[in-house]
Amino acid sequence: MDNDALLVAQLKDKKTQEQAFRKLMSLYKERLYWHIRKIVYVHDDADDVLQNTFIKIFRNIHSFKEESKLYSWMYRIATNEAITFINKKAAKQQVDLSELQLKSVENLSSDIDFTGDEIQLLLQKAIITLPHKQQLVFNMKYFDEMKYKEMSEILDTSVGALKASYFHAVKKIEEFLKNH
Amino acid sequence: MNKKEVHKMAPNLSKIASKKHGFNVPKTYFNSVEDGVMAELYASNIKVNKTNYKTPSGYFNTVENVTVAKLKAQTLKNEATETIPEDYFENLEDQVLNKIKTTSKIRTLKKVSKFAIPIAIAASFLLIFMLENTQDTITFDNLATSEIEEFINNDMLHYDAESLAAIFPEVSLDDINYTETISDADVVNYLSENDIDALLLEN
Repeated sequence: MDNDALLVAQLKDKKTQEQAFRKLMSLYKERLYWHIRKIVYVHDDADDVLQNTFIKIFRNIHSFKEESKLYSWMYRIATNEAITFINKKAAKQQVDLSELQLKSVENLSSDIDFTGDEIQLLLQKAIITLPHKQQLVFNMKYFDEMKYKEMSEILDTSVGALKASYFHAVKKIEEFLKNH
Repeated sequence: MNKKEVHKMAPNLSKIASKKHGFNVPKTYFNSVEDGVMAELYASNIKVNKTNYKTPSGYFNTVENVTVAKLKAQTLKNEATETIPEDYFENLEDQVLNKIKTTSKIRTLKKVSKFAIPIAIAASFLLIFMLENTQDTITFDNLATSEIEEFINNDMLHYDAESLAAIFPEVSLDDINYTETISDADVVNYLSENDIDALLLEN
């Protein structure tokens, strides 16, 4: 039994569930956090989404079929939770998602939890000009250096489509950086 | 597309060293994630338990009518208790008068020795002169009459008519000549302004 399978078995057993769950969180919290953070921008929002993600994982562990990797399954939950969150936030502020993202990126320069330099801030501005799914692909490939096969499981998109998407994303961003 | 291809296609993007996004987290944040999530899980479990309570079907449809009916019943009950016996006011005067006749309280004044006040005055005399003259033993014999007179004239002795009367019982009011007469009207006014009952009891 590999490590993933063992952990899943412990998570499904009530006697070992809590301990196994704590171990799961310890292993994956930082990776999931940064993935969420790049979507929602604000630390407090990322914290909320991360908690919701783990709670959802805990409540649905019995339905995890182990056809995909445990991490891919959790990453997908985190992605969905983050996207749901920002959509709700945009609806609450009565703006569309692109407008919310523009506001969020503009606020980064005064955010104490963003210490990037000028070009890093410019990169964030460039990313939000991409279509929403392309933004995910770019972030996961460029920052997280995720393999296309893993991305394919998470985003339920073929490897070929993901490669094409990343290529276009890099081209657009380069154009933006050149012109600004 | 590997790193070399990215570098070739996007030199500006490649300038961003180590692919840092610029986001930070508060220190020790990651130390508390597990506890935060567990607390949230326990809290949400408690919420789930609370929703297991049930009410009878249709309960919320009838609660207003039942409450109003109860309030009305309570009001009627309160009104019904606000009654008085028949002929109450007719018998009231007789009852009060009878009570006055049967329950008469006699206040007795506490007997105080008629010498208590003069003794107190004399003691205060001695005390004051002792304080002024610490070297010699003071007695009334030591005191010169002029000193006592001076003491009284300087308003250092406080006395009232009652105390003097008690000290000098042999002095009769007849010896004192009043230069003014008191009219009947003055007497009536005095009696109406003062508590007659208190005066009667005092004397």
